Amino acid sequence: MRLTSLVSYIISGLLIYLSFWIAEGSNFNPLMFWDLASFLVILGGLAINLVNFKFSEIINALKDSFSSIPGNDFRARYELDKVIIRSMGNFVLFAAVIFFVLSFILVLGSLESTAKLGPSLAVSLLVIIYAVTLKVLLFIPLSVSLDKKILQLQEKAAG
Amino acid sequence: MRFFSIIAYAASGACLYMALLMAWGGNFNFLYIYDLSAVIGLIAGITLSLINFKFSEIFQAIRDSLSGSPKSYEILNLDRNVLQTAWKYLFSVSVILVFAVMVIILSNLGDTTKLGPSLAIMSIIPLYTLILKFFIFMPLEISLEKKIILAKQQKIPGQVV
Repeated sequence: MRLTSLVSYIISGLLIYLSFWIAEGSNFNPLMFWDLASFLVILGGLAINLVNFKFSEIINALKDSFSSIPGNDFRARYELDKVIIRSMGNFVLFAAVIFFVLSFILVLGSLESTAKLGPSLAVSLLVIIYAVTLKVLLFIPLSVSLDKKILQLQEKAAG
Repeated sequence: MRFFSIIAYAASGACLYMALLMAWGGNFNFLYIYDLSAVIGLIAGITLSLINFKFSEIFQAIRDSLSGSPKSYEILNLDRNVLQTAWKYLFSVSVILVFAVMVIILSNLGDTTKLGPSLAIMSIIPLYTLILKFFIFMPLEISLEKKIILAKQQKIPGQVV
């Protein structure tokens, strides 16, 4: 990973924080976005990847997306890494959507107390925020990085 | 499928269940998310796959993605196609059902007390579809994809890995 990647992460994070701050002003509190249940859902989404991949394969995929290209014979390995990273992102998103729909059903099933409706729906939306953030900040950059390496290897092989 | 896969399934299911308990406590009851009409609708969606594939082909696709025995690139590609088609049919049927229920709800908007429960039942259909995708279709497809990459690695297509 290059130094500029880190800088772009920081700039992007700061801009998002600034946009929140402008929109919400003093009402904005980062602690509002902490929810243990949502965190567990994301863990559940990550854990199901072990159905198909060994833990070492997942670690290798993460390592490979950061490291430089060692040789031409790594193309199949990078393709496998890409499948791993993509499936991690998809599983996390699906787990989040399942939990959101479940919460939505439970909220709709108990509509008598409308005072609790807003907060319950807000908490159920947090899981989607977690999943999308993880996908945007981690899985998409890693997957694109692997894509780039596969393309470079293809170019090398073509001559 | 490795033995460890079952543990991974259990761990993931336990995380989701714990999250539900944390978020909803004693209010959560599995009966809230049971709906027979949704189950029948989804069975109809899966049955639609028989338009394109024989029952044996579907069974073979599931068996190939679970077994560790080597298969040729073409067979694995066909298996992946079978699973993807089954998922497409299932998804399309669930979308049709959701919109059908929505039309029924919107045409009976006079009684607002029933609005919440009706919307809840409407959301159960996509929930079932998502659960099927998360726990069955995606793991099987990814397992096949992994095998396809390994089969492709062997230079000659069709060669057993």
